[in-house]
Amino acid sequence: MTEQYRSRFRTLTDGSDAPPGADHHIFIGPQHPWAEEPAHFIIHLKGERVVEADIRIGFNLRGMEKAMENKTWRQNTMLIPRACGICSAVHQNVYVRVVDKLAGVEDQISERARLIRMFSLEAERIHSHILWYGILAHDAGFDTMLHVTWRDREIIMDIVEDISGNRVNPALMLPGGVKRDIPKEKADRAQPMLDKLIKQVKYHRKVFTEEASIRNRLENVGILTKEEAKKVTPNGPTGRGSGLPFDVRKATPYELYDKIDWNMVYYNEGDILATTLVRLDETLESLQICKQVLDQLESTQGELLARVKQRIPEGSYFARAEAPRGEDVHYAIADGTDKPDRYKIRAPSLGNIDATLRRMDGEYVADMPVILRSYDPCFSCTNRVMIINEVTGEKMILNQDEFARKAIKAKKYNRPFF
Amino acid sequence: MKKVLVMGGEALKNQVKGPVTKHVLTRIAENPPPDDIRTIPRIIEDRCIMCGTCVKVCPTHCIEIEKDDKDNGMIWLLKPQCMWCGHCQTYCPVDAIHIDRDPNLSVSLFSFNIHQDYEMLVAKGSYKGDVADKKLSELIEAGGKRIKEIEEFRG
Repeated sequence: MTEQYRSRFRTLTDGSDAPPGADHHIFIGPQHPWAEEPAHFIIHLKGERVVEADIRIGFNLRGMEKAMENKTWRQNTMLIPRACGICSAVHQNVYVRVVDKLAGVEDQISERARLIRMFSLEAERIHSHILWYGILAHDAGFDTMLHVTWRDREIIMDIVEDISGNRVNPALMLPGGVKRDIPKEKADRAQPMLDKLIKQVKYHRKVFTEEASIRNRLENVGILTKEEAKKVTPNGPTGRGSGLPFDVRKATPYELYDKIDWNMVYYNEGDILATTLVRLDETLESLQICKQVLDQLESTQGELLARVKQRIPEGSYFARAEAPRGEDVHYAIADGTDKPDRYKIRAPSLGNIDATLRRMDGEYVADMPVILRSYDPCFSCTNRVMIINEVTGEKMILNQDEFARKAIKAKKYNRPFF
Repeated sequence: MKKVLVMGGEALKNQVKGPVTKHVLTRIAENPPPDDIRTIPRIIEDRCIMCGTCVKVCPTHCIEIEKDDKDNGMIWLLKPQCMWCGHCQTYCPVDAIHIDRDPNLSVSLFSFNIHQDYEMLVAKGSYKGDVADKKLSELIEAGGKRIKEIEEFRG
């Protein structure tokens, strides 16, 4: 059991801790021209092949969960989308669902409000996926594709701006409903734009599957087989590219995802091309959902905002949603006042790090940018645990398993934690 | 099946059309920002009842209120700190707050002097005139002190 879980966080100060066989070590980040996000990668090489890769995160802890304890539930509605730059609406959606449940107004939210929430979520998934595969093409050295995809991404950004008033952070949701309506003239304006975008995304898919220069960089690179994927449990498109058919929208439907007609996309190959195709097909699927939602909005009426009191009654609730990157989990404890007692965010990127490190074993160092990009890294929202021994000053970064094992041992034999 | 030059058509199209950036200025002129774009809030003086809800719900603490027991008082907005979320508009009990539609406003909001750029949203009753001017100078003075403290702290 223990040998399956190798220690990721080696120290190289005296060289003794290097993995056997490695003769070179490459350090990437936390500030690096390749990476927009602050993460520290250590790649151990033998010749041109990767022996093992490590990651260190924790350069961007902003203390948001603590800040939330000092603000009211109403104020936090506008703080929580700032957890992530791109997937802001999904964080807000999970938050408002938590508050709805705790305040007991779940049943009062109208169908129209739920449809508008869904439109916001799917529009966000579309622009996040288009952004991602544009940057992937840039990392693979195919800059033309970057410019083409980002040009077409403006279509969905214009729709979001028209409907919400903001380009990236729509901030449409509130506990009890939504802030703004989508009137008929805006829906009519958006429909032909969505049609145009469907045509463009189909063209992007054609380029990614047929153009030799990009396909050679992605096919059979960084393969994560289904058996390995089951051990490291990636979520979201990373898992669906390796043949794990799991999507929170299908598994535990929230909002109105069970009443809309859509298919879950998954591929069994497990290479980078498969994750790319998952995202491309998902973009088409989301565009189709958006069109359905706009059609249904015409015939659906209802109150936009239900009344939610300032003070949230005592209780705790756990909610999750499918973010563009994977599974987003929130947990809240309310103590009867107008401020949360504790709020915990687990962002999707954290669950995919281990799977991505597995992908690197035995690959060429030239493929590293593409593999590192494959899980859509987003560290500003990822949280982690670092344990510091007060006496010796020793620092340990633990994953969940190691932490649980240490804690159980300490309790069982009545020993100190370290 | 792998092919080469799948994007050849795109390349030819761009060759004829010229750079995309050439059309940007005309495109901005043709497509102005949407009517309900988010900017800073404004208050209708007749409707405001000085209840202070907007101060309580503001996530960035950018609204300040000073009032007496009756309906007299004034509300100030710290403009650069406002993130245009519209919470004050949503939760206002008498619908006194609306979002400004001035398209030129976004230019004037590029201010980094976050401790001095105050704007009067509303003043009622005895709080008008000289009292308001005094309050503004107080606010700016307090902001200036704060800037000085920060500069001393940074060294």
